[in-house]
Amino acid sequence: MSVFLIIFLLFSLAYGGTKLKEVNLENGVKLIIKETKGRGIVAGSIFIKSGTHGEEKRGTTNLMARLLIKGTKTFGSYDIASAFEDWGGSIEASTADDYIYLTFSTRPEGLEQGLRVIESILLEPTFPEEQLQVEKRRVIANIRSRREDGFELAMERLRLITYRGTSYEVAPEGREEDVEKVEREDLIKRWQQVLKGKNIVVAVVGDMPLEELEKRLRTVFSKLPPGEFNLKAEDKPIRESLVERVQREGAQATILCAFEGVSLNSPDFFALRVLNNILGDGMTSKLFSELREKRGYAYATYSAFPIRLYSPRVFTYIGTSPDKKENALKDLLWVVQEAEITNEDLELAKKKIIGAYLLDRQTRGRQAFQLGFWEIMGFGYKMDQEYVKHIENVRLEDVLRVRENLKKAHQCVVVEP
Amino acid sequence: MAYALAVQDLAKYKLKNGAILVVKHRDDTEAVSLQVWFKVGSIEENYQQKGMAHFLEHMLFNGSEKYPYGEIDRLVEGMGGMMNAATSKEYTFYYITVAKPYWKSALEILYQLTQKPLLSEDMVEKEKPIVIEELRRGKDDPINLLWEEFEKLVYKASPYRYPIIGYEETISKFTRESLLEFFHNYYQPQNMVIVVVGDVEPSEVKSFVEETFGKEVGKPVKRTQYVPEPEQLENRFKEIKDKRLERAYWIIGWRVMPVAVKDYYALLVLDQILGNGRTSIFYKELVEKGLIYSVSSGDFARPRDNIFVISASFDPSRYKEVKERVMQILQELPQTLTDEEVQKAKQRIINSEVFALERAQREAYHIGYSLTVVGLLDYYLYFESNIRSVRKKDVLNVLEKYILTKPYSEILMVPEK
Repeated sequence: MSVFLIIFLLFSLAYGGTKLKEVNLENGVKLIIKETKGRGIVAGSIFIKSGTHGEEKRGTTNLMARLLIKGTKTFGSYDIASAFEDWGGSIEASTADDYIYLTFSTRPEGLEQGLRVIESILLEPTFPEEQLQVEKRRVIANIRSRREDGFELAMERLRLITYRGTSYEVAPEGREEDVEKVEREDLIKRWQQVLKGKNIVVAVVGDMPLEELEKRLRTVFSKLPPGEFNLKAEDKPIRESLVERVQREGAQATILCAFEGVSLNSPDFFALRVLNNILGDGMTSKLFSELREKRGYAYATYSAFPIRLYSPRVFTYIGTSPDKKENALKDLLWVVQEAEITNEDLELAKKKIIGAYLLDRQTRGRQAFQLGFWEIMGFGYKMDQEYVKHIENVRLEDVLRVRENLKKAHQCVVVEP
Repeated sequence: MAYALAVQDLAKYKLKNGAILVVKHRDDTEAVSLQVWFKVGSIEENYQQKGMAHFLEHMLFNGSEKYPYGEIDRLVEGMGGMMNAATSKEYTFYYITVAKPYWKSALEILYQLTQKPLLSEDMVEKEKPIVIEELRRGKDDPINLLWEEFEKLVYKASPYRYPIIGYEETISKFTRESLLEFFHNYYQPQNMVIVVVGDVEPSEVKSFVEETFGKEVGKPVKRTQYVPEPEQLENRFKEIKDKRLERAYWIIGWRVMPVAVKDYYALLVLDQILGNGRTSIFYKELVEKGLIYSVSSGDFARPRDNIFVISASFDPSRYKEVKERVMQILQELPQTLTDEEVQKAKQRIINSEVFALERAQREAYHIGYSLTVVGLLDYYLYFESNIRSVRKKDVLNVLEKYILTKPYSEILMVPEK
């Protein structure tokens, strides 16, 4: 039996479990519930497919999510936090490019109160004006502080280049000039727009009987409004290579590049997950061995293939001394586009992916997030179990074929002192 | 085998050569965390050695007697495992997290890594530019610089005032000989704690450890005389200007009792009340009222010359107001604090441990830290009961004795326009 199958079978005993259930509510909300055994923890993720898509003022959704946990008709900000923190858990709300998510964790004894609070957050948020002003100032400060960090600054510039004209062009926090203009009415309007049953996935994993979890979740989530908020497809291919240079005082140069990826429904999607791992994940990766170990350019260098609905990209990063930056950029492109990839690289990458994926699911919070994430991104929650098999099936020829995409063009930002 | 102690599925052994082994059996996870701790950090270094503890940590990954350079990375990643290491001011530890069937191979790797490294001359030279890039990466980050400067302000005599990473001029002079001398003194059984947490049989782990780590010769460690920090008699203040900044960052700190002494647990409860989570006083009074953007508090858990700090970010124009309000909150706490708040804070700490220990590696870390830095397993074993025994008057005593009546050190970093 292959190594990854052994790992997979073992972990699925502990983390997969057989007590997993999908419930489709009449209003379109999907519940994914899993029963686990342990010291008494319940964790959940509530996803609302939307993110920044269709925002009129950039940053509205992010502000709205932040304010969800700042007050409702029944509970104040302190009561909301206290319902979870008293049990040692937490509640957070934020916005990614493609979805809003609320994550929570508590002990089984605290779930009843926790769900009362969640129901109130979803159905009767007040978006208090005073808190809106406070959060606007905090968000604007965050947006500005991105320029303090070389990587953040590079990513801000690269988004503008590689996603130009799409909703991803600006990070979910938005633009300073827009955030200033967001009003309470905008938040109310946006919440009404996106809180639609068909856009909502709720994944909960906990040390509680499945039936009991289902009953409690049904009661709360059946009350959400039906309907659907549709996202507009907006694919932006990379047509031409480009390197933009940005000045910033500092001790290092930051190089960040984007390459064309493949879409989520492409047969090559899993091959690109593997290729990304070969190129830039871990100590055996090409970037690490070629740029750090052989050439001593950097302490940190890696690649990432974030899962987004549209305009797929692979990103690569290296932070290096200013005198090495030109060679580092040249060699980074060589590693991504030309360095030899063997069968051994392929097999190792598969094991890395599977191992990291399974180890990441040690906590109930991560398990819930992962189940909900696959569902909201259109793969279906069963991908949580199938992912390993898909990765295992990738062949060297698939990896080499999908690499052709990365050779077409590159867009890079070099932040240099 | 000198003795074995069994409490709560936990077995502690002292090997003949002086090494300590702790095995915590857990059947609620398929992940096994294996860690090897050494009581050596940057505070053991003389001036020429600045950065050596950390540099050595890098070097151990560059080849051992059984596994040539690169082989260990391939093996661990091939098992789908995660491996890394960290160096602090007091300790260095190496860890692998892996699926249950591979725990023996992982332990063998940790044995070779920590006890049989080659430390070859060419690898020393290969590693220097990488570590220097890591140092420059730190210098590129203003927040990292801020914390370095803060420790320089607090510690005038103690070696805690030096950065872990060292200096370019010391790192560039390290040789194979100087590293070997450091290695032979500190990386040996009498300075070592091995921790294994997972679904493993303690007696089996013990036998395996005796055949590997148990074969090494233990000897007394030559320790560098620690220079204690004299009592602080005056308030200290330093302002730094940085062109990269967009907002002000502030840290204020007081010298407090060492980790794990009797009144230490009252400090943890005080910290929970003041600055932990959205239910904390600072969050309610400073963040939600719009005075600051973010806040955190905590102590460094040091076995001597420990410090407790509050850190915050805000608009530079509000520094005076922020400091006044923080001081006011601290001064008013003896009048405003209720028994119920103390009770809730204790419960939050105890409950949050359940979440923290969900990951096997987190539990192994707690055990390793207790034995290596604190010097007592009791810190881990009786953490909950020690928190439970804290009363309101203990919290107020700590506030009075260490904070309200004592001088502080503060550092303010502001944008230079």
